[in-house]
Amino acid sequence: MSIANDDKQMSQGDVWKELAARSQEGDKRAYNQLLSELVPYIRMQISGSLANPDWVEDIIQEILISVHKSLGSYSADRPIKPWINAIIQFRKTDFLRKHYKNKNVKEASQQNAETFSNNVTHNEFAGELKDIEKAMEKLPEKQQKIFRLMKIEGYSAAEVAKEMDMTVSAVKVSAHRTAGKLKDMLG
Amino acid sequence: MSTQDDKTISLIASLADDLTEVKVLPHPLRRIFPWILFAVAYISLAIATIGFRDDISHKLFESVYMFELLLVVGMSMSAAFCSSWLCCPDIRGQSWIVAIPLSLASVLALWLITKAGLDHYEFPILKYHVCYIGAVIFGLIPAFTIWFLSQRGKTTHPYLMGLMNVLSIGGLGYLALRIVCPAEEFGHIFVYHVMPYALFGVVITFVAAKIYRW
Repeated sequence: MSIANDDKQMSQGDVWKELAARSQEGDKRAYNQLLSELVPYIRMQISGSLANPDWVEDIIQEILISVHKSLGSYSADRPIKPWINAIIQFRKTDFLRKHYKNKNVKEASQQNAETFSNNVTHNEFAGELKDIEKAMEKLPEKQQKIFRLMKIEGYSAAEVAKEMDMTVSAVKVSAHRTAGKLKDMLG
Repeated sequence: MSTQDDKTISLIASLADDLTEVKVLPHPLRRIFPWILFAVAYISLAIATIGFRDDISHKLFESVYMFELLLVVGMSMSAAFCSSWLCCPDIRGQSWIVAIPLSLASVLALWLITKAGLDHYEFPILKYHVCYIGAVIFGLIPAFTIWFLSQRGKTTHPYLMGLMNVLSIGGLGYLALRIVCPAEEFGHIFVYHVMPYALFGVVITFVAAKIYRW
């Protein structure tokens, strides 16, 4: 039974505090509940301030990964919402900064016919493997390898983690980030 | 349900699946105290090895000199505390604390400008000087160790974190140089004692977003 059902008197912040504390102890169910409950809250916080509604889910995923990475920095004696809000604002700003930076690059290259023809083999099939591989060349070698093994060659995260001597979580996060970068690069 | 929603649900499941017990970051005070003790011990050892300035016994009774040293100690230590607080994404709700080192740094800057005005300074010709080596000796190891501490945190203010670390390291280095170097001319102090740390600060500004990334 979830904490929220256990004690209806607890505020949302108190419930999340309790879930976060249990998550820090390694309680997977509490953690799943915490992240799931955070999603609508994050959506509410960011959706009104974005020019493109398509970005909302991407930013939510970035924020969830950030919450995962920084779980140890939450102190159970402090309210949780300022901690979450700080991460939300940081990741949202980070996402927008990267997006607008990439947008300028893309506009510049599309104005240049030679660069455009070199990077896009065929407009109608711009997402083909050849384009993806070309885009991947711009990424760090480690990220390329993880993405290739997981998303192109079909190895599981655990297998890739073993091969790369990394944690499964780090491999999944890297593959997720690479997919996001490629999406940005390929428009 | 959209594909994006599915992706979010699957990401949550995957993150929850990977969860292991998390080591909680200790309170900022507990994190920074060992560094302060280490930095003070290291600087003291370095000063003792290099040697005090010849007139140190007189200078310690000069209120102006002591004011400057205490100001720098206050700035350096408060910046180190702030750096530790900045390791928490929400600065533990105490973002006002950065005002302390920033105010002290402003007072120090004003103090140096006043000193420059009173001394009718002349800038020395830029050339190699032993104070540059001193600046590196006093700054390098504390800088590396505080960077290591900062890396364990999750800052949402990388530039502010960089600035606090530079103030902290620069303050300690400046203090040590003032204790070992007998020069009192503003030109010398600015070019050989302040500038190395100011340049370090400029470099950190450019790379802060990358080195404190998480």
